[in-house]
Amino acid sequence: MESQQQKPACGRHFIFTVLALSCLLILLIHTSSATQTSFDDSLLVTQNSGIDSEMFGASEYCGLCHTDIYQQWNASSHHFSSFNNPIYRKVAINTLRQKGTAALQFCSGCHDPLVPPERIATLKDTDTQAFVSWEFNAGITCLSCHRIVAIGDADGNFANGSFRLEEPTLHPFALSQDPKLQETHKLLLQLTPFLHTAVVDKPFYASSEYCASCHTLTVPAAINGAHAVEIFDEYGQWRSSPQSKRGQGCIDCHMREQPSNDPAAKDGRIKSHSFAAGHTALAVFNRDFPHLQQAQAFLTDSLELSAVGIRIRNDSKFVDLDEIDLRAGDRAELALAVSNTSVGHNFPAGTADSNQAWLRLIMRDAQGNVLQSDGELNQQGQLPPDAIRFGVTFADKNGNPTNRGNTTTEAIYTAQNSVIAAGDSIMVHWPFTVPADVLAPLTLEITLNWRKYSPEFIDWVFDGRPVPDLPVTPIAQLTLTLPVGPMRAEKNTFLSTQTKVTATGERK
Amino acid sequence: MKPQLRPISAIGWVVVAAVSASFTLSALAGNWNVPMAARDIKNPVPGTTQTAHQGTRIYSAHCADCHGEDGRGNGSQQRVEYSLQSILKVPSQPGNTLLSDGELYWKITHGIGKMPSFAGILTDRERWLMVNHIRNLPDDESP
Repeated sequence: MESQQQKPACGRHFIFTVLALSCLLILLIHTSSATQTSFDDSLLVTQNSGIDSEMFGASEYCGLCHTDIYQQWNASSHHFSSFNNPIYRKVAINTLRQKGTAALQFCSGCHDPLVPPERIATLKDTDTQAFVSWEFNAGITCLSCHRIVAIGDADGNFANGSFRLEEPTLHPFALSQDPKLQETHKLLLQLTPFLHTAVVDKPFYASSEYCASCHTLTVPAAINGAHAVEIFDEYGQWRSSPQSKRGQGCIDCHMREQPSNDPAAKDGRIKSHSFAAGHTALAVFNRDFPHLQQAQAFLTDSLELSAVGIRIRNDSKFVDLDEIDLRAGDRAELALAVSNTSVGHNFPAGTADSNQAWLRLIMRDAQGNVLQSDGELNQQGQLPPDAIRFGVTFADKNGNPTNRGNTTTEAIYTAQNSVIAAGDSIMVHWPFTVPADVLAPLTLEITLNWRKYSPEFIDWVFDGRPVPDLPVTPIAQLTLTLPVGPMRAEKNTFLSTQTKVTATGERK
Repeated sequence: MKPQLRPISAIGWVVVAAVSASFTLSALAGNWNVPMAARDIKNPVPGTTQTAHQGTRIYSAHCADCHGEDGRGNGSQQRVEYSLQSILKVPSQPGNTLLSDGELYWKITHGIGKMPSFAGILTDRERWLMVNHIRNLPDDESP
């Protein structure tokens, strides 16, 4: 009886002591100098030497409490950034084969943060066991971002994986599979949430410089053998954008707030860790249709199309569409503006050499028959070479165009550039011929389409093995109706309707 | 007399706590967090003799080392202590009965812990072949 009465007091004392000592241990470890990793300034490659991959890989551990955030991340391009992304996998192995381990180390600093460079240093392109290991297929895990403790190089540049990782200090029993120990872990975490926050949250995480440390790529001469080449620089583009001047940063678009009961929620909202962007191919490869819809909704209406003017071929001056005297048999030219109204950096961005953005133009008669079209995909789903496209083409040292398979390692020159800067517009001209026997009025349908990757590139990636069709996403659409010849009313009226298209193609 | 908590006991607990923090990831293999939408992903690959052979080949190459040739967790690397057939009987969401093809595909695609994501290793079709093969693995009770 005596011992039964004493037990609760003893238990409380014991638990209190354990908790107190555990907290003390955590504090001691937090204040000590943890194993630090740093990047090499000469190549600006993230150096995560000596890291314990397992300490950065336990995203499912984070998901025990942060269910919403974990699910968002799990479907995101950050999760599928490494060898679990078939595109990167192919390009990385090809890079290893063509350029050696140093070039792959350069890529892996951002793409494979769980793979230490010393492991890549001994890697061969035939090392299939490595390529199927969990570390190579883990992607950018929760802790690979949330244990970045410093960003930027010595000169204040934010690019090419210029960050420093430190191993996390987790609360006791964090990775235990024993339910009782897991409960103890949760209790400890609830008692000392500030320690958890100190480990996984830094003030600079909300900054655009944080994102820039990987989303800016300047390939050094050591990789391409010639000179430094800027492949993409969303950060620099954003800095001169209207969005930047308004105080909007990367996360305001790519991590929009969502309602959630997640423990990390503030006022019932979290920053979405889906990292919505234009990667529509990955979602299709994974049959992740909710994520595809999210990406398509993100893209829709991010740019605008508007008719600026029209002219009869023989005239030299464009006039307002209301003023044109279009007749059957005329050859005419439409001037269109494609405006980057909502994207806070260039459009297209990122791997702009592989992203396909183009105009699809169709002219129909009064019965809906197609009289002329441009930018139509052929039966193989390929884009015609003469399509009006927006993007970048790089060239190698001999002037040959590169593609996503070798741009990073071979691109020396910018051969063509038709990206649209934030807040900017590009004018395009579309010539068309009005048939002599046209059934008026004419309808011109103009669509700005988006497709992540070309079928030709995907064939190369998958060695011709069948994969789901790449989705085409209409970003913006404009429909114009043109009266022609005798059908025109006495007053030269002109109908113009701008139609918005949803992700599913439904017109509003 | 109250039993006193000896300092050595507390230190021991702290050591246990520190060591447990570095446990392997496989400890959390049950925390899949499969989204609801995964249940409705349709299997586009029919189960035929030809696709069964293809599925067997892929499974042997990529899964058997850990899950065993018959899926009972007796692979040469001995990492998995449960059978795949038992996993099929564990619903991913409350109210569901069995794991659907879509949920199985989702797990193969995303991976967890030491089981890698197969999204880059196998094509979409190959992952479905794997799903079909796992469906045809022998029951745990069969000899």
